[in-house]
Amino acid sequence: MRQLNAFIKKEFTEQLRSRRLYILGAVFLFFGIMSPAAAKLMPKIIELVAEQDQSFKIEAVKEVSALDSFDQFFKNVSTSLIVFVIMQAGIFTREYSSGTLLLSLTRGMERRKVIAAKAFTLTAVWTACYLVCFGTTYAYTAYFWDMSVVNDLWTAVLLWWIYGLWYIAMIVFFSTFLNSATAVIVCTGAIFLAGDLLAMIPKAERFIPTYLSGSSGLLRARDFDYTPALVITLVSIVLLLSASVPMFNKKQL
Amino acid sequence: MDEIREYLPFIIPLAIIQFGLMIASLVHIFKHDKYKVGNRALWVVICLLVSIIGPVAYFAVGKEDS
Repeated sequence: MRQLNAFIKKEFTEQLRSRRLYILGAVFLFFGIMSPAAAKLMPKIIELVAEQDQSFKIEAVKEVSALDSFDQFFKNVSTSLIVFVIMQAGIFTREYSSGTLLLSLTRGMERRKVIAAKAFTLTAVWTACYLVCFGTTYAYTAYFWDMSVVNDLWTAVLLWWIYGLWYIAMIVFFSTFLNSATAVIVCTGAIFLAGDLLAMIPKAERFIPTYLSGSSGLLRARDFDYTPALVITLVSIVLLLSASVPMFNKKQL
Repeated sequence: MDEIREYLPFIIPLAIIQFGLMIASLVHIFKHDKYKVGNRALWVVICLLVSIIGPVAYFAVGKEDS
């Protein structure tokens, strides 16, 4: 346990030293502010477009509500997730090329603990960044608009958080056998695309983890059955992480 | 003027983030002379002209690892 704690501490120092944590914090905060800002500016933008383009007819400009702000949030948080994946994809591969991991392993660090520590660090960073982003949007939205129109905000927020964990599990899994951050990013992106393509089959849609990224549907109490996708996502997170251990044990460093 | 005041709660923090990131990236660029991708001039231009994304791109792909 001491070994694990020490390694987690080392990971966090690395996150701070490389400035990765600050940059991610700034990006998530930026999108947290942008979501309510975009919602607030929306009527203005529509007005401007309508002024310039006469053919553009406004069908009764609707009032901006808390829903628009949260809609923007769920749109922006996917961009933030992409930044997160790009910045964190090198968490293993950096150490492969610098050889620092070999150093810890020869000192008796178990390989599965390396995976546990890195997965934990990624989860903690994702959770913190996500909270910053959502907290900011929530504070602005509660200040500017009436929140009573929002249906099931907390489930939607929780589902999106779990969706982020799925990407962390993929980063860890792909890192156990790939040697470059770019390869990890490409593979993670490929899985996302594959999920998106599969989701075009109407019957399969509900079962694919990417379905969780549409959790904002819950805000409007639309018919949104997330249980199958949630179960499959959680199972695949567990499978990916447990498959990582034997894969990583076999890996030549 | 009133309209601008209405947007100040958004504009001020966004400006702080933008300039903070820009300054941090420029400081880092001038303190180092080796980059993973590109050269100093390229990154200075990108960080100055492309708001938010420029500095983030520098830290994500331009910066040397250690």
